[in-house]
Amino acid sequence: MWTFLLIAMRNLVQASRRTLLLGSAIAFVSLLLLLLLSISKGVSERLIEASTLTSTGHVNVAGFYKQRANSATPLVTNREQIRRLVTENVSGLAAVTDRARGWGRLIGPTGSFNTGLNGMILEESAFLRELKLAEQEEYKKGGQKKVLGNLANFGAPDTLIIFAAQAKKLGADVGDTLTFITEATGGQTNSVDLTVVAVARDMGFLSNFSVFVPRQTVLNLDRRGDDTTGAIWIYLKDIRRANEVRKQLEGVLSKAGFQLLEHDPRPFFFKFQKIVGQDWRGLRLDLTTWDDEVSFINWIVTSLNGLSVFLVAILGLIIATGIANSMWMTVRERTKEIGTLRAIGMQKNQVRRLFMLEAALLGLGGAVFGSVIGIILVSTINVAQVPITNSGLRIFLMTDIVRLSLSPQHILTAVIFMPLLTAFAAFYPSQKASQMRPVQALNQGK
Amino acid sequence: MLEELKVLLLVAIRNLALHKVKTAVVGGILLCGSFLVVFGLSLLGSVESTMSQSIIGSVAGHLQVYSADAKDDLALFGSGFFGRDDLGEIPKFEDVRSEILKNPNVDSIVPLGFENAILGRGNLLDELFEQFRAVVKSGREPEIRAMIETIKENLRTVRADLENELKIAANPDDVRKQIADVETAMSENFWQGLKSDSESLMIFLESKIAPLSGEKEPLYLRYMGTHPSLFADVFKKFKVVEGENIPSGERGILVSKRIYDSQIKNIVARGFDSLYKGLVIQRKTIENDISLRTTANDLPKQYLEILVYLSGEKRAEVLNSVKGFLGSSEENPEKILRDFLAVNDSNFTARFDFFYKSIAPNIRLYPFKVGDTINLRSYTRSGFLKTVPLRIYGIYQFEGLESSDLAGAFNFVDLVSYRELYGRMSAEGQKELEDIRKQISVRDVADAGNLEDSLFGGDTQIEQRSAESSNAASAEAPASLEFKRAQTGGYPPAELESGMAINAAIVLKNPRRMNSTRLEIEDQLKRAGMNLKVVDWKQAAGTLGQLVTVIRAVLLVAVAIILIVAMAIINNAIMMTTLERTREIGTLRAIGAQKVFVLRMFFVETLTVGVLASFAGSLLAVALVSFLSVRGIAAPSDFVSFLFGGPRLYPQVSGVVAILAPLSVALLALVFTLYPAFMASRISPAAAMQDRE
Repeated sequence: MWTFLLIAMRNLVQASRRTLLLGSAIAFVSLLLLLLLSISKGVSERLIEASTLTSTGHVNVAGFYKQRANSATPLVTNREQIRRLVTENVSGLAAVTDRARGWGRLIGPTGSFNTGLNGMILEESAFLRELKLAEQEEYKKGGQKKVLGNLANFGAPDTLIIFAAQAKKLGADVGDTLTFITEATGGQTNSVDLTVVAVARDMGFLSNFSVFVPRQTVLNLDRRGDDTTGAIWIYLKDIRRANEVRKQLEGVLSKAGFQLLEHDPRPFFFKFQKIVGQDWRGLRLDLTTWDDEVSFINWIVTSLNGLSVFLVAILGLIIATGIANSMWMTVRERTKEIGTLRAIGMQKNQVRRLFMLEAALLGLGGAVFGSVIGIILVSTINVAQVPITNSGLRIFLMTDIVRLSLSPQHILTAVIFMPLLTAFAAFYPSQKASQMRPVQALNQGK
Repeated sequence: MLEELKVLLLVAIRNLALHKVKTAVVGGILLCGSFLVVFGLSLLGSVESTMSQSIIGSVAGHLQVYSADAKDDLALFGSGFFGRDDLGEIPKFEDVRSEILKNPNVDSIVPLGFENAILGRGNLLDELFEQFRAVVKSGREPEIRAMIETIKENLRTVRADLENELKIAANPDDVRKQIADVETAMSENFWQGLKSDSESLMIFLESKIAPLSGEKEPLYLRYMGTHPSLFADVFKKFKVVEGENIPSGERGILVSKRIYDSQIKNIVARGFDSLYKGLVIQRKTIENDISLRTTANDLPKQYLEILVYLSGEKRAEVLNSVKGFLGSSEENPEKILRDFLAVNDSNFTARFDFFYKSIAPNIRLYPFKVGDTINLRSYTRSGFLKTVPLRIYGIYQFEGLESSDLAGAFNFVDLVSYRELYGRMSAEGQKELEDIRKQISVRDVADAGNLEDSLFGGDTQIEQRSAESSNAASAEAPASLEFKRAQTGGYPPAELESGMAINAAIVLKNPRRMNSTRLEIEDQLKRAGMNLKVVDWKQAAGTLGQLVTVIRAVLLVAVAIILIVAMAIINNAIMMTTLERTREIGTLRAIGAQKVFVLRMFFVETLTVGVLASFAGSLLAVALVSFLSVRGIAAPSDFVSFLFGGPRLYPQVSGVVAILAPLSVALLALVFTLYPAFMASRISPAAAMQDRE
């Protein structure tokens, strides 16, 4: 085997120009493959990051409470009991918290919009560490290049954290007082004045639709008791276990006597209408996973992945054609050599293996080279913190600076995929080479 | 010269035939490349043109004009926020209109303004008490008796519902007080009061009891204020399919058929509709399609939405016919309907037909219909809620865009009602206010701005239920005035044509000159001293317009990458043939061929295969697109149907693309022949001849 490798290597070195050309094409495609993978991985990571901060846990115990036949309040009672059941029964927990859910209009000096309220429990708000604050100039024309807010002030009664795009729209800054009014049914509205303590950096689509307030603010606003909450959010050490944990919890909770809704993989705000029409009263729990709650924007990730697959498939095809062509020519060029090898006792399948090995080596070299450049490029882009200025792209990519994500699996994919592809492309020419009869081959070379 | 070309061509053809594999590889790649470019660009071009028709033909027009002071960009189809964008105002539309119409390329201009509203769905007890007031007034004793019984029955439900409230309330004592109030209203003693002091009894019911029954979950409606008849004239796809357009001088709303059918219609009927679409039209199955399965599973749980509409004889009649249909002997009405609504792949069609034939005519399929009045509740520009009652004049749709959520996103109201919801008085209203201000000595209403605020809830933070408040105190005179105007409904038709608008759609005579006309108009407005900006439909579409730009950019980048890699491979292939042909070239040079001849030989070779293959690829793409232009490509989703301008896309080939694209591909291939050809021309005859010795 070692000899084969040496021969293949020698051949590649000898045809240096061809090797260089094909190798750089392969390197380019591997680089592209890595870039595409890191973009779509980056976007899906941002999606998880933004959604688990603003709208969902890995698994949620949410539900609806129907006081009247025609109501559907996204509210869970028996909060303490459910939380206890979760902590006692779920293994691999990273954290459990719950958020009171409110909805209404936030009104600032220059604008207003509807948003969800995240009623946070301060002691359980690990999120505060993850939230990155925006510099003033980002949301205010002529503002300072300095973060004004302070997360430590959050948690005092009726404090508020908003996002940069929201601050821009509202014309609000740290220290300002904004009015929030609910759209309570039955004609009455409730309102509260909230003080902005910090402005966080945008996280795309999802951060436009939520703000953070202390839990008690939401309870006061809707006049809800202390044992109620919007949803209990469960964070797992391994997010891939989300669905399994959801199913397990369904069993645990129904055994404890709770009524459960059938699993419906959509975000809770799509379910109001169907709940309104149902005949039960009281509480029904609704267990969802994080991807259920963001299913309405998952198409971004899906279409990015689809595009990557399409592009890589076409490029792979082109590369394969190129390899097949050049191997075909090599075989013809080296007829005499093959004849000699066969004449001194090399087997047919050994000849085939030799040529395929050569192609695979070329693919491996190209892929490794491309990956090295890819790693350098991705880390440079990440370090450079390239800002995204287009608001449309910010919304779709769910971040305000370009953040790519490259995992070892991706590099491994490229490094394994490329040699396989090139070896496969070289199969037919190699087969041809191996079929040559030594005598003829020697003659032809003359 | 011609002679040389002939020789070159012959040599090229011979060489191409000799090096079949190389020719096949280069030709194949060029063919595929040119096919992809022509097909991709044709498809994209078609989507762009159908989408532009969707956007231009629904609400955007070719150009949109709005205030240059706007803080946000105009985004007709959403900006990513759920709220009012700050678009500034066009203070006097009539001036802008006359200025813009001076431009010879402008066909018409339509004033607009848009916002989200919450559709109040009514409160059951409110309605009941209103009826009760009327009955009491009539003084017919048996009717009053019957009415009291109905009210009591409803109060029993309210009483039970409050028990549920008790479990989630922060302050249960408040709820207990409410329960006590309900119990008071249920007692015989309470109703005795009807004879002595009916007014205070009514006030107790209306103020203490009615709010307890709660509204249905509110529905969000996006509405667009405009000049209704002008709009219908200018936007040809706009068709009122039921009722009539809002008459000039009247307040009203036109509801989008799409919203009417997909959000407002009875939820059971909607379930049947979406299953019909999935099962019968798209030929999916409940068994295999997860979203259809969810819909089918939810259907039996919605039986109440049928049952509540069935009472008395109708109830027995409908239930019996359902029983007959099912061949069941079940007596429980709930069970009968649940059984009926349990649909699956095999029984669906029959049940769908039966539902629309025998059940639908007996229930309320829509909570409101043409001729009804609905309460539109919306945020004024200062952010507070304002309610305006509007009569539904008709149901409309955009022809060809029936199934698009985006085209059907708007409900149209007259501009005068829009201004009121926006928090801006009409000229007439302002004059009335002036008069009132003269008449009454208003204490804290110092200027018009403050007066407006007190009118629209600026400092009271209480929703103005102007339409319902019947006994306004004198201090609230403006509110009762508000009530009167809303009631009468009319306004001078001239108000539609003049006054404030947010933006305006401009339709051009010759859309090809869109960009130059845009600049002309911008210039005209500037010279007239109007601080406005003009954008094209693509920009006006907001995130949606950006999506198309993103798709286009992605496609072009993809094509560029594919071409670069393809060219590298082609370069490589030619390079290798060159090396192989060293001896041949050496011989040519030895017998007197000039370097230039060798260069030309390679160029002609590439050009021959390049032009042939690229045009073959282009031809294939044209054939495929033409085939699709007859058959059509079905839109995979409702969103895509907006992009497609209808349920199917019929792509068109652009002649320019079909010719220019393959030419550029061939030229590109030529560029990548430069280096190998140059290498070949430098082969010295002597070295080449020695090579194989």
